[in-house]
Amino acid sequence: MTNNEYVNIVLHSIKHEIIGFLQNDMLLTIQNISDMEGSLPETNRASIELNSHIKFTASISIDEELFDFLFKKFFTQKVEDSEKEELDELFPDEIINIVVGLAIRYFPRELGDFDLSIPFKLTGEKYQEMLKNNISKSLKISTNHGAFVYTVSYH
Amino acid sequence: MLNILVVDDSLIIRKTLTAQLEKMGHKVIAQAKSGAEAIELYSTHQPDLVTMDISMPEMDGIVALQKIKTEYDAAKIIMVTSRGEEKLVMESLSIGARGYILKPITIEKLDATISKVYPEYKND
Repeated sequence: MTNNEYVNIVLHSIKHEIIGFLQNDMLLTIQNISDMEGSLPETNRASIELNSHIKFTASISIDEELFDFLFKKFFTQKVEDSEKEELDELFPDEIINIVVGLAIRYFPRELGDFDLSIPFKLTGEKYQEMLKNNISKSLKISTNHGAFVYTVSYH
Repeated sequence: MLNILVVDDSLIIRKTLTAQLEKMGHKVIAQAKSGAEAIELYSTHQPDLVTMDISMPEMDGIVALQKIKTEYDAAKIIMVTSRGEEKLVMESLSIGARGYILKPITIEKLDATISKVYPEYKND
């Protein structure tokens, strides 16, 4: 299997979970799924490493409209102002942990058993460097309440 | 109403799970951020039910489950996971977990799992 094929498998396994999450759990309508060129928007970004004998990094970005929608779905009770900033920061980490964690079950056995890192913020130069040095593919999933973009990079 | 101990390293999950359980009419008597804290809080509060995250730093949910079950055989613990790995879930069930929930957690999933442990608390 080529490295490109590995990236495609991981990309589509994660896509399956993101669609399930947005459609079945968050009750959103998926309007469009398209390839995305260029780098991931900086908005509400989180990354996670998937490590076995090979290594991938997955990164997500959630646009403001979708972020607000998901946040309200998760936090049905009033969020105190003092907590809001921390929760805003942690929320994309939780989302990537859920969708990538669940996607692992669709990876082929030959990729081995994966460990997930703790979610982290990959921004600015570090992110650009990762894109430059690795095979990366991105997808944009548009819903009736904004868009979810993600990238998978093979190291 | 059940007295419930919520165990998860994620602040977001602790908050959302607490809100959902309270909306269902239960009382979250304590929240723990790690397996070690869960063991301590279990012996203090002896809750009716524990929701236990499987993957946590320091001491994970499976080790905490094992330790609690060793000391309190009747403990009722349901596992919460965002990992699609059946192995971990099966291991938890073999140690004595009473069920499991895949994140994201919804009231429907909670109700279905809790009502298997406590059929009298099924929401209509």
